[in-house]
Amino acid sequence: MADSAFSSLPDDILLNIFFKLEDDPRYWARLACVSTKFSSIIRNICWKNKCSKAIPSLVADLAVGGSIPPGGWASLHKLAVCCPGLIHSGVLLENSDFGLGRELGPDENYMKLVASHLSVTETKSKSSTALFEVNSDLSASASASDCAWSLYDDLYLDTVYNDSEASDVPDPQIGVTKVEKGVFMVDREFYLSERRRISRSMKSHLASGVWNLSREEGNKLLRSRFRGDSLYICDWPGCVHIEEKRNYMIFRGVFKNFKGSHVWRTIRDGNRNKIDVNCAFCSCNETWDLHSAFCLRRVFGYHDDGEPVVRAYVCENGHVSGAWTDLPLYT
Amino acid sequence: MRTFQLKSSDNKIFKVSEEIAIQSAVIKNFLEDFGSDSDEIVIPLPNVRGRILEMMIEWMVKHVDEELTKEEVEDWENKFMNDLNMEVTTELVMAANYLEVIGLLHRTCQSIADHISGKSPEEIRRILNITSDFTPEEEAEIRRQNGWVLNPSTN
Repeated sequence: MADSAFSSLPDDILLNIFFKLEDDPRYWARLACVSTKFSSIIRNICWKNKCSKAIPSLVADLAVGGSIPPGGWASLHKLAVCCPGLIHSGVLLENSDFGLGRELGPDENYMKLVASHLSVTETKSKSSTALFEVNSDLSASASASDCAWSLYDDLYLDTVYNDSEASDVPDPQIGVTKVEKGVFMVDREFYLSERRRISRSMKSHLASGVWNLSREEGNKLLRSRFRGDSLYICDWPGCVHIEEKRNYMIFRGVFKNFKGSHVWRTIRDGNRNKIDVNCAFCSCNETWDLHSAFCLRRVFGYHDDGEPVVRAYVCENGHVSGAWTDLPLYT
Repeated sequence: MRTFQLKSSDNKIFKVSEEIAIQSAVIKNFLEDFGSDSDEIVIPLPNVRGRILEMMIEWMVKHVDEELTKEEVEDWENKFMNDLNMEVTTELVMAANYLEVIGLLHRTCQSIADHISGKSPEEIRRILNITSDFTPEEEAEIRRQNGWVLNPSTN
């Protein structure tokens, strides 16, 4: 079948239509996946235009003399609006990295999510034991939550619901407690909202908070000898992710002229190994850990379980993903 | 009040008054250049077929009707747009663009935007009848880059 009349519309009309969809950044990202023509218009015109309007000082600094910023306009626009999530900001990295066998690290959270899909039987870490035993009623909770979930789950379907990973889940029928219907309903809603948040927060998503990046925030991260580098970071507190163990304030940012920065020289001269966290904003598959390369301010330090208070990862294009946590109450 | 004849690509003739016709910037310029008082002017519009021209005139007539309130015109516009399929809407966009009927151009573009807002790339292709012309590699890369708005498992 021949293509519709739509394919013959000139670019200025397509732009007219696209700019009526500029309020939600996700619309353009989806349009960019439709065809090469759409993709080219969105990437080269729409995103460039939007960046120039939304973050003019950063554009002036990154795209010197009208050049294309590293990773393209798509990356820069994504940086402005998209939270990298727990995965890209390194929060879900294996906790063995810190050299301390932590009792409850991000990996356990990850597994707990698997367990909670079938039924929440792991109650020890929760304060409300009785509340969670209710969920052991598999027959009721599974079918009920399936209905309640279908739409949202499709959107945020995650690989953690893979059967092979679920093998560690204890038999949900053990310790079944029959409860009043009313109590059960309250509990299920609580449980659902928790699952919703976790599975959503792992992946990149539309960032909450102001879509702005500033050099002042970047300066607060770097050690004093790197203050000459221009690191733009989103405004504090970034996108706040409330997790079981602690809160993560996930930030995103970019270095101006990364390959000319002191941070890059330190990484390169120190022969730092890349790690297996891919950049959320461009096609780089590996990043460097700025924390272990001693580029972040020393004062941040560690929590008592070995988790760094601030972590940040940078890719070859100078895109940064990371997470703040609340400072420990003692040092 | 002068009247003119508009001739569509399939040779259909529509008689319109100057007041209506000058909503098209192209016709307005044409008439100013022509400067004749004759009622016999025929303006050929080889890019617009009769059915589309008829709808455009219907639109323009509604927008000079002084008895209608703003809300009534809006209600009429919404109903007018709702009755159109995507193929006709697209033709109207083209015609409005060609004849520079700005109000109609924006309203038809808005209608298309409303149809595709919040839709997945596959749904947008289906709605607009577009086939993907990405190579498999290009498609994989663009979907990876924009995976955060698609199914997150591809991200």
